[in-house]
Amino acid sequence: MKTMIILFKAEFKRYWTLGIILVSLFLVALGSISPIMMTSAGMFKKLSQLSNASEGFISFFVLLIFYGGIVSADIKSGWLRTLLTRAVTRQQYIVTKMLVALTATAIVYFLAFIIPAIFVSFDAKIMLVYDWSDTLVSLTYIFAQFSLLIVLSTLVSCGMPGAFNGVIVYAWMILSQMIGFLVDKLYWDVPWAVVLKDYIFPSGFSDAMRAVAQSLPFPYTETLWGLAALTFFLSLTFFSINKVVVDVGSE
Amino acid sequence: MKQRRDQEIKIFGIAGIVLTIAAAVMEYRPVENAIEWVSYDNAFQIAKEEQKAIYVDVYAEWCGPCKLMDKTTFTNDTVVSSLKNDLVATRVNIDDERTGADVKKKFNIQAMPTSLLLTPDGQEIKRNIGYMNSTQLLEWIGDTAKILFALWNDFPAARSLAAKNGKQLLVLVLHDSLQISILQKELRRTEIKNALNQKYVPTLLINTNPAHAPHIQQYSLLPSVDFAAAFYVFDPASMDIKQVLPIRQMDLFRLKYVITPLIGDLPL
Repeated sequence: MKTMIILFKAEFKRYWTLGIILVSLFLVALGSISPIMMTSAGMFKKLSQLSNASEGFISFFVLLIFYGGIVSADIKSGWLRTLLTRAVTRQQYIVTKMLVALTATAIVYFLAFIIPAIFVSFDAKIMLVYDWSDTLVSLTYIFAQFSLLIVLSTLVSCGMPGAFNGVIVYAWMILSQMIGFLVDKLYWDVPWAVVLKDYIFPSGFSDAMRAVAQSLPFPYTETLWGLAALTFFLSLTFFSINKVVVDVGSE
Repeated sequence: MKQRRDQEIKIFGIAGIVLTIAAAVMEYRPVENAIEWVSYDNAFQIAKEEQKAIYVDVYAEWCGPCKLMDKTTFTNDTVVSSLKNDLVATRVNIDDERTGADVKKKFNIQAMPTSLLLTPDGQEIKRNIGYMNSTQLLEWIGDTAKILFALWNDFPAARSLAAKNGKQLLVLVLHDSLQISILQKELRRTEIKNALNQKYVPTLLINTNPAHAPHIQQYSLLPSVDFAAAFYVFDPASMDIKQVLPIRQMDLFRLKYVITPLIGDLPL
């Protein structure tokens, strides 16, 4: 545990490069403006809706910039080799990397979500319902989905150079949405197509979040699909990190 | 070291498989709902006999939102009661080679679930595409006034039908649509409905409806503000007013007793 804490601190410090800081500021600024404008226009009436809106906006950027090259950059720079020669296991390394990425996402996300929420609370003309319990459930699912994106990005990064992992996961996500759209419009009456479109990209937590936003019954099934995907891909990620070739002598 | 690495892979791998199986069981387990669906073929006959509109649920076994409606909407007591008492409820599996294909073509179904409200003659009153929770479904079908009065012909068509069938034209005139829910509830009573249909072809005119206002003005039909509504009986050929029956607000709830001049005594 002590090793993990030291490693977390070191990784967290390394994470905030000038580029990431600038992109984060840009994200917070943009992520704040659009929800404020949309709330002013009456598009959001509840705090939980505001939190969901920020998620859609930020996940696009974090995949490409925050999680891009999450492992491959360390392999290329020799950082992974250095760590492995200092009694850090591959499992400790990969878990810490994912926790740091999640923490960084959480910081940027909260800033982009909290700033508009504070601004809106000052404006008496905007009637926003502060539904804390729904907001908390939404936030849980949002971070569960971010965790899944991090696991997927890490998995792909074990075998891909540079920031290709972010591009591949993002393309996978977009492709799944496009196929879903096509099936809904053109092949809605083809049973296998309708069933298959739900399994192209693991979206259990996103579906659960949407169910909460629409005040549907508690999404047990969607939550189980999300957890199943998370654990399954986590297992694959552990497997992949073991296969990464790093010359560390007697590791 | 290698053994420990493999252990973590196994633990998460097994957890992933177990959770996938649990999710699949939850997703695809059969779901019972509490609605007494009548067959699509029989629905029209029953609707004609009971003078009710038909609710058609177009679904598929592999449609997620349809299953969600089974689990949540169609198990709600108020929905069950409303579909049983106010409508004739039927459902059509889109994969059914005969009925499914027929309904898909006839009503141009383009997504699922699709909810249809039909007249006993099979004319579409309205439709909704997609999931509806119990509140949304009740709101959608809840304005049963629209359903009852949608079964009634509009003024010109009712006049033609009355002339053709040798019946009198019965015009219900309202100031606005405020009392429409109470009236429809009373007029839906089987004994009133049957008695009215024997002698009359009913139609509805609401003063606030721009399409109705010209007819109301033409025949000077608007009842006094002291009355909530009024029934006018017309001879469809000459359009002479044969009878006028104003209804006070307090009488709306005991329509059975106050419309005896129109339909005679009804059994208590």
